[in-house]
Amino acid sequence: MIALPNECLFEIFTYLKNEDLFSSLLVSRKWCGIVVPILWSKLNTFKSKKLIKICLLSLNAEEMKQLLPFNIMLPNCPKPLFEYTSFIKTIYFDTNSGIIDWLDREGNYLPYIKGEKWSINVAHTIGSSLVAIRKSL
Amino acid sequence: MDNGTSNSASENETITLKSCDGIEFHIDARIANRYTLLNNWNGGESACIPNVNGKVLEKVLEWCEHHINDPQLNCGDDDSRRRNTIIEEWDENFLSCDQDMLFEIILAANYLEIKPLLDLGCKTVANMMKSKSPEEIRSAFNIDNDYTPEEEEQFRKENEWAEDY
Repeated sequence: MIALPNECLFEIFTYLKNEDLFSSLLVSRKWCGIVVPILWSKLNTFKSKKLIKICLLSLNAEEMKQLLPFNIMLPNCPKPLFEYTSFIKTIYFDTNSGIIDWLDREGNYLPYIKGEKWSINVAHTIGSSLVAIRKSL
Repeated sequence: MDNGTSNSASENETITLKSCDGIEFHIDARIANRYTLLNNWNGGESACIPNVNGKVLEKVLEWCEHHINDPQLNCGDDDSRRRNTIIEEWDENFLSCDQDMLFEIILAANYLEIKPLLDLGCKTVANMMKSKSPEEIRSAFNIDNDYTPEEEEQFRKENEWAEDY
């Protein structure tokens, strides 16, 4: 195949929807490097617990400190392969629901046991860490 | 429209373009005016296109001629251009060539700065990727998978949220 320059590939990928961008980034390393910034800059919801998990894994030590008072167990996974959060352009108001969903299913801290106020506090803290990531850029 | 510069041209004017392999094309000078394609054209009667061969240049010029009366887009229209992947029938037929030619046209449109044709080519390739798995895309475009299985799995996990949104 004739190799298209990155600028043309970039143009092509901007026409794709998220699910097709997801397939494209798994095609090859070169494509991944072009697609990831497009996909993450198009982010328009934080409702997904899978997404919140990757954002949490991207927190640095300083940002994680804020979570200590809540005794939250962060997922035991390798650091993400990209600094995905650096590509995010906007933080949306639905961040809290994604965080609470993550706490509920993966954080091993059932929000309904700890109470609604507790989970909202945690959601705010995690949410502000994510906002802080944006500010520091 | 006469913009008062030396590059303005009327309907009857023609110029000669020469591809990198020496093939000459006589084209309506308005085409040359419309796109900056002819950066090398200084208002004279001929111009050389060093990076595009005759076969590809012929296709590109065919497209330009067909679209000679289209309204011109402003540079700031990036978002509105991008909003859809709908392709008109004539353009779809025009680009239903083999993949090498399609990619050559994209390269030439990029090089010659013919933005609408570049967009069209990119949209066409994007449409070819829609609803395909990574493996299907690789085989459609003959791309080697250079990930290790572990890496691929980790990228999958880190981005799988995108499938739902």
